[in-house]
Amino acid sequence: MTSFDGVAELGGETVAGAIVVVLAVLIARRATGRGVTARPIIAASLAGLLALSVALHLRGVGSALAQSGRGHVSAQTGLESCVNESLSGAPVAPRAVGFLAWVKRRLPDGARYVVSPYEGLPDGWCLTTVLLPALPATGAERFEWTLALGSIPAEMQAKIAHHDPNVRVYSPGYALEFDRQP
Amino acid sequence: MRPLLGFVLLHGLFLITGWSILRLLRFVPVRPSRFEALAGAGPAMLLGVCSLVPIQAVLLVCGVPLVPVVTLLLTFAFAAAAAVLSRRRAARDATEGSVVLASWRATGRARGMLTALAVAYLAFGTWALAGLPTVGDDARIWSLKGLTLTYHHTLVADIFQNQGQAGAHPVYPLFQPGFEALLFQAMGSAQLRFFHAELWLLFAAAVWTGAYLIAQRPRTITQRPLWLIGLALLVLTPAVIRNLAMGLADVTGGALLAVGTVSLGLYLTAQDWRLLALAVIPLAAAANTKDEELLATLVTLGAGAAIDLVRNQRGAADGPRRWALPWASAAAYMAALIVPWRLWTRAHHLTDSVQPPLPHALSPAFILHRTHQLNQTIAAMLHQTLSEFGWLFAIFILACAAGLRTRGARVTARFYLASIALSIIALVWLYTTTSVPLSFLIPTSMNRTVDVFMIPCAMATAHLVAQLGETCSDNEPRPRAAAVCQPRSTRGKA
Repeated sequence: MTSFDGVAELGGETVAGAIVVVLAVLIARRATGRGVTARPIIAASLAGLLALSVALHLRGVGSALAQSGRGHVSAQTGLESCVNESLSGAPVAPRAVGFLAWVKRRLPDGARYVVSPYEGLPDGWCLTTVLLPALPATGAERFEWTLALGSIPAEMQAKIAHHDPNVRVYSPGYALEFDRQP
Repeated sequence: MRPLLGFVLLHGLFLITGWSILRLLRFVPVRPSRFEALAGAGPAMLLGVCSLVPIQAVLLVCGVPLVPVVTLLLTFAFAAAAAVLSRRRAARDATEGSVVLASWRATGRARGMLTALAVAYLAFGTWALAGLPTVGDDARIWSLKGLTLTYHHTLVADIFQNQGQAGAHPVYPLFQPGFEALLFQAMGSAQLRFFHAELWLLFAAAVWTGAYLIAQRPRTITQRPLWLIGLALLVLTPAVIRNLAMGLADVTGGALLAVGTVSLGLYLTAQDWRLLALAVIPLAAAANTKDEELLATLVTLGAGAAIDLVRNQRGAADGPRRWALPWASAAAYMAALIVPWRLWTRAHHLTDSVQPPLPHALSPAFILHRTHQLNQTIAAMLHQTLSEFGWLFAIFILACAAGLRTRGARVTARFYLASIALSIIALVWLYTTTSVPLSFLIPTSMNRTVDVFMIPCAMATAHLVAQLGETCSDNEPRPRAAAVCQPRSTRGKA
């Protein structure tokens, strides 16, 4: 739709509505022998147009509410749903949902974490929301936890090979490391 | 059990605060009847949320944690002020408050069915929206901030001061996240799925408040309240339901703005300071919802003040002086609740990616060089308005046209036209001047940002239909509650 089409459509609706209002006033005055003022008739005609709009919306609103009712999910699924959304259109990380739920159970409240290496999926805002109350470490801040999401860095792989108890593997490519820094 | 108890307690605090404000403003009598108490519940809930949450957001910026104890203390403060001040006014209040009842009686035999339908629809909507996932902008802006406040009670630097982490719009204000956090703290856990239903209840309270305010006009009592259809259209618009289901703040901001706009419209006709005082409460909350609502609130207040000034200049010699005090008070209240967050974001160098490049974006030359964007924005806005809201905008134009030609509705129609037109211009300006490509911005946001003017449009149309349906002129003395307004044909014959 161009802006001209839009203006034309709005203008058409307004003119059609105006014709309804004027006709209502003329018919009412003819029927009552001019014994009635225009104001209540205009109000009633506008209310009639509003009622028509309500009627036109009824099916859509019923469908919208029914769709919402059918879309109910569990609390866990509700929180993690954004992980399966891809803002850029790229495919989502296949095991990210399960991994984040697994990580969330292990992070204490207020823990600080980093995702390394971070490859952009899921997006950082969604990741932060899902892992709250744990907080992402920013800038030069200290962090105790490192999440490997999709690929495990070489340093962490070496620790896994040495059975370091501070590194726990969820599945290939997904691991969590606790760094006991002084 | 704990979530339900917390929900009831928090809403009890909202109701007590809102009721105290209604008492302070003498909208309800000291000893209300059962009907008056019930009719005032919706407005009380809305006013409670709209006063407590923005005040706590300001306190949060000042370093006071967002916790229910502060909500409790603020509620006590409002209740104490209402108890002390309304005792002095008890004698005068005795005759107030029965106008809404008279208006309701005018619905005739249909009122039982109307009540049952409204309650059933509210309950069905609450159920339908109570179990939805947190996705899209809700997960990345609103609930991200809401959950942070729920767990950490303060503006944690890692989230709120970090340009990369503070959601897609780090400068968006704290009304919805603050409301969400208070609810979750009271319920004892983050009931994310339920929050969509809470937004639905707040929206219902806003529509209820609009009806309550319009019904306060005693002259409507001889007419069947046909204007209720305008409000019914608002709650039955699928686009509104879909936006609430997404957990977005646009419907909330639009509904709060609509209540404030209608209250201002009523003030301009009645010149009753209580209506202006009541208007600024939801307007301040709307301005604390999103940037679009902030702009729309400012232009709405500006339009109201300008129209009131012109009206006062034409009246008594001391008109401008009488105009200045209420509007200065309104501006001071708004500034107190809006400015702290803006100063805080500025102090932490937070910027929004969609924010127009100021001051260049204010230059007409800058906008003229972006005619393609202007055309794209207008086309998308019209398409959205017409496809999602049907005939509403055309009916609004017709109602304003009829109002402009009608004594008693002229000032209101002028105000609604000006405020809605300025809100549209402000939104068009935001889209036209932003540096974010419109090929991304329009498909991802236009379906909801039009709420900022379409929801006020619906409520303003309802008010104009009410005014046009009146048979008395507004220049006549205000009749007492439940008095019958004589039809024009019989006036002056007594």
